[in-house]
Amino acid sequence: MAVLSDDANGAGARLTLVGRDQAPLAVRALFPAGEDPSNITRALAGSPDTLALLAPLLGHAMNPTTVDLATKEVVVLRVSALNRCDYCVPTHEVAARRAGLPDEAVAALAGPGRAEAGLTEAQRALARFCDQVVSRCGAVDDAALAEMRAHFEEHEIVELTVLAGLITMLNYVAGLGRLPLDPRTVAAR
Amino acid sequence: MSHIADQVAEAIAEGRLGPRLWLYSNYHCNLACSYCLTESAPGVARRELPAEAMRRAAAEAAGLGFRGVGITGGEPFLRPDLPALAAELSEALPVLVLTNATLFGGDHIHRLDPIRGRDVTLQISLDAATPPANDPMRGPGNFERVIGAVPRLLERGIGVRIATTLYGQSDEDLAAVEDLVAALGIAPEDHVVRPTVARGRAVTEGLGEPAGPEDLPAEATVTADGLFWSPFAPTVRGGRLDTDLLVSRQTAPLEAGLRALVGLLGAAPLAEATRFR
Repeated sequence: MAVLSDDANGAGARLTLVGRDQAPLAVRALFPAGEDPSNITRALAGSPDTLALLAPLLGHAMNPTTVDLATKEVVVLRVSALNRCDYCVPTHEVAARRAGLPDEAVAALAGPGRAEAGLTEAQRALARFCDQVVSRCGAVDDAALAEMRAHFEEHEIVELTVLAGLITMLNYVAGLGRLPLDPRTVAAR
Repeated sequence: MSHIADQVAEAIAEGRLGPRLWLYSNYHCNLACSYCLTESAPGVARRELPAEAMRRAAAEAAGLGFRGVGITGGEPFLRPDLPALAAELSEALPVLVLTNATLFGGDHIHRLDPIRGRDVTLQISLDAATPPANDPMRGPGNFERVIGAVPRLLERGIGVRIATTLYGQSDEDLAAVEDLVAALGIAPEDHVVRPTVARGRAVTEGLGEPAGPEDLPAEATVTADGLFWSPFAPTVRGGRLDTDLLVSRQTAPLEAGLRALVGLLGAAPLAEATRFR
């Protein structure tokens, strides 16, 4: 079913959720036929200039690079949980499981306590790093950085920190828009 | 010359981008035509483009290689500042104003004094050669007002073009309009005939032909809401602005939005259609 602007899926949203019918030219490729774009994409489409620039950056940041997808989902889910994003947390609980993180790891990352259960050593270090990146605006202590260096190359630490920032930005937009969950998230829960 | 200016000039020269920059001065109108793309009527949201924004856009357009400015709406002459503003913009580029010509009766014609002797042409809508054929779509009395206005404009040296919108008129009807236009002293090349586009109120009324970016020639169009693909793009339906043919929210500087438009020109098939003019 084609997603139309502000249809029933958008009930409760505080920002216009642009559907395929109204997708601006510059971002129309992000609204392929037969595939429902996420509500965060639909909200960002209200500013096509922004979305057109963001899409390739987010694609690079959130997809596997020298850092695998499960590791990236640790950052996305943990940062979204710290920022209390009601849209991003359930969305990425699903995505994190799909990326191979076990249920107990997903629950720990999304929960209020330390994230350790079900995570590898590197992922635990990364979760602790994320806690400090968010609470200290990036100025993590030397121990947290040293722990990261034991598991990741410096360029990867840069990339993961940028990812934390990008996710925070999306958390803000999702919070502003009070975005409802995507149907596919609801179906997968 | 900046890189983007080169690209715009090249696209215009190659016919991939229309040579005229369109400005939507406002969306309200004293009429409420059945096929209106923008649901314009007296009470609608005005969405006015500020005069300063229009001045800046026209000046920038001249530097970017555009060859003209088109002002449309809504009915542009509902804006008190429009005649003087059009005259001012014509110092940058030749100006074409799309109007229903119903606001120039009697002494009101003197409102147009600022554009006399300037490079400002009025494009006036006229769909049929008789009131019973013309007025159901455009409103009672429309035919007589237009026929009354044209000679008075020409007497004052104000350039006039006539635009006829097609919505099922017979060949005979069309021939009659052509004869009437000729009788008014308008050259055939100054008579524009185009189909109704199925957007805005035309859709609600079951009129017109669907038109996407592949059908509509690219003509940069600035509104209060952003830069659009074509003057047929920033339409309104059910009171909501269509964004499917929105290119960029950036119009000041114009260059910022045009960068996005030029990017799309490369990807989009060249619109052969000259029907939608």
